[in-house]
Amino acid sequence: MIYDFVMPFKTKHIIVLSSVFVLLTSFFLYKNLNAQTLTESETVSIGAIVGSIPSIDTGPGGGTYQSGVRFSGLAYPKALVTVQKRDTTFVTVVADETGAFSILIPETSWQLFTLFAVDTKGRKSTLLNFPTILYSGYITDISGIRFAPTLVTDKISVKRGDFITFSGSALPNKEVEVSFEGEESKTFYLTSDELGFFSATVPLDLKNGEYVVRAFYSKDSRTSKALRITIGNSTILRNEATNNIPGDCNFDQNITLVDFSVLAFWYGKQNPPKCVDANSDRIVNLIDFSIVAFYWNG
Amino acid sequence: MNQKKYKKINLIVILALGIFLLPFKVATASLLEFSALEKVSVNEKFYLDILVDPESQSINSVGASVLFDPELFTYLGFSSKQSSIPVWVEEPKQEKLGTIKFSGVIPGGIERIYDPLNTGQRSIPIVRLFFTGKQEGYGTFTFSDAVVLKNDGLGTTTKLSVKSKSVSVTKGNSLNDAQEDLIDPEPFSIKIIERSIFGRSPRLAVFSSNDEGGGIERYEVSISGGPFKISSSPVPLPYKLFSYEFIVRAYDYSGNFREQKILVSGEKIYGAGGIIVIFILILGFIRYKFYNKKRINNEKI
Repeated sequence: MIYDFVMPFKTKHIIVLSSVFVLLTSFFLYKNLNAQTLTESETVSIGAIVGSIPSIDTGPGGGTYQSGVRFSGLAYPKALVTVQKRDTTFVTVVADETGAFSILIPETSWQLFTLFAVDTKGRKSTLLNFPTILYSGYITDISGIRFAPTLVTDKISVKRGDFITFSGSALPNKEVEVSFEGEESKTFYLTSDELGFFSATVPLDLKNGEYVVRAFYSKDSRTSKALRITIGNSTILRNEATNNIPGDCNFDQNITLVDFSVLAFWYGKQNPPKCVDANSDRIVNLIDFSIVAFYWNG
Repeated sequence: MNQKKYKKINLIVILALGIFLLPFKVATASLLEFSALEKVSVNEKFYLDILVDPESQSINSVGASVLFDPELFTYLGFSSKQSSIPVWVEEPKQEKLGTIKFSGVIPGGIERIYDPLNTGQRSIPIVRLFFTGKQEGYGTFTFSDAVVLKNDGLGTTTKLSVKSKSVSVTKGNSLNDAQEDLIDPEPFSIKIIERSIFGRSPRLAVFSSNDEGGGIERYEVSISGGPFKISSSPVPLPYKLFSYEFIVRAYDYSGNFREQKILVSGEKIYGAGGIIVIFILILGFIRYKFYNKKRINNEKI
C-alpha cells in the first residue's frame, strides 16, 4: 500500500521491468563476450555414408576395409596434412593449390585422430583432435575442417618502438588478423597473397611486458600456435633465443613428449626448475601440464 | 486488481530470467559423468566409462578421483584404448581402497566427440574403469577433486558439474563373470631422455605399456642387475661411467607382466670426464714413480 502511495502503478511497472531488462541485457552481453565458443565461420559437419561403400585398399599386405573415416577441409596451398592415431603418423597428403585436402582412412573402431598441417615453408599448424566413433560398414565423413593460419616472428624480444616481422601461411587471398594480447591489445589486419603467404614488418609501440601473439581468420576462434613476445629494453632475434616457451626445458623451441617427461619428473616435487613451473607458483601440477599442452607442437 | 498485475509482473520476470539464464549455464560449464549402468550381478565384471562434455569449449586437461564402496565393488583396472587422453599425468590407480585417482592432458585440446549416427552426442570418453560386484547391495560412484582445464594457455578451470552413478549389485546369474586374464600387457619401448648440460633434470627413462584386460597395475624396474623395485615413468637414471642394463616389467591387475630392457650407455659428459681424470691420474702415477726411481738412483750415485 505504501508503495502504491509513493508512485502510480504504471510507473512502478515500467521501472521494475526496465531494471530487469537492463540487468539481463548486461548479463547476456557479458556472458556472450566472455564465452569461448567453437569456431564461428568454420562449420565442421559430420555424417555417415552407407550403401555402396568403396573398398579402401591399404596396399600390399594391408587388406581392404569397408569401414573408415574421411577428413576433408582447407589447410594452405600445397600444405602437408598429416593424420595421426595416438602419436603414430598414419597418413600424409598434399593439399591442392587452393589448400583443399581430403583423406580417407580405413578404420573399424573408436579412434582419437589428430590432424596437423605443415605449410611449404615448414611452419606447423596447431593440432586438431577428432575423437571419432566408427561403425562397421560405414564411412564417417568429417568435412568443413579449416586449419588456422601458421605464424612465425623474427624476434622473441623487441625493444619498445622497434620493428618486428611476422609471417605465415593461410588460404589464398584471405584476410588474416594477427593479435598481440598482453598489457595492451593490438590487432594487425593483413591479406594473404595468391600462394597463401602473408608477411608484415611493423613497429611495436606497446607498453613493456609479455605478449601472446596469434594469427586467425576473421570471426574465427581457432588460432595459430601462440607465440610469446616480450616488449622491453632489448631486441633478441628468435634464432638467438634460448627459451621463451613454457615447459621447453631442452631449449629446442618445441614442446614434445620429451618436455612432458621432464615435467612429469618434477610433478609434485619441491623447488622445481623455472622452465617446468609454467605459471611460476613453485609447484608443478595439472595447471602447468595444461599450459604446456597448449604450446605442444611436437 | 493490483495483486493480479503484480502476479503478471512476477510471471514475466521469472520467465525472462528462465529464458536468459538457461543458455548461459549450458555455454560455460563442463560436465563429468559416468556411462549408463544400473544393475550388475555378484562376481560380474563390468565397466564404467568416465565421460566429459566440455559444452563446446576447448579443454586440454582432466583430473579427478573416483570414490566407491570397497565393500561392494573391487577395482580391476582400466583401459585407455577407448580414451581421448593421449598423455597421462597419473594413470588411473587405486590410491587407497575405494579411491581411484587419475589425470591426463590432450595436447591441442578437444571440444566434442564425432559420432555420425548420433550427432547430438557430445560427451567424450576419458577412460574405462573395470570392476566386479562383491556382494549384494546398492553403491554409488562419485567424483571428488574433479577439474577440467581450458585449452587457453593459462590453465583456466571450467565451471564443472559432476554426476554420480548408483549401481545395485544383485544375486542374479551373472552372464559376464570375472574371468581370469591370462594375456600379458602389450609390448612397449623404453626411451632415454638425455639431460641438458645446464639443466637440473636428470637423465630419464620413459616408458608406457597398455593392457587390454584391465590396464597396467604397476611397473617394476631393475638398474644394472639390481633387484626389481616398484617405480613409475619417468625414472631418473643414475650417473654411471660405463653402460648398464635397464629392465622394466609392466604388471597388469591379474599379475601378468611384460618385460622390456635397454642398454643404457655411460653418460657422455661424465664418461669422457672420468676417462680424462683416470688418464691424468695414471700419468701422474707414472711420473711420480719414474721421478721417485730417478731420485733414488741419483741419491745412490
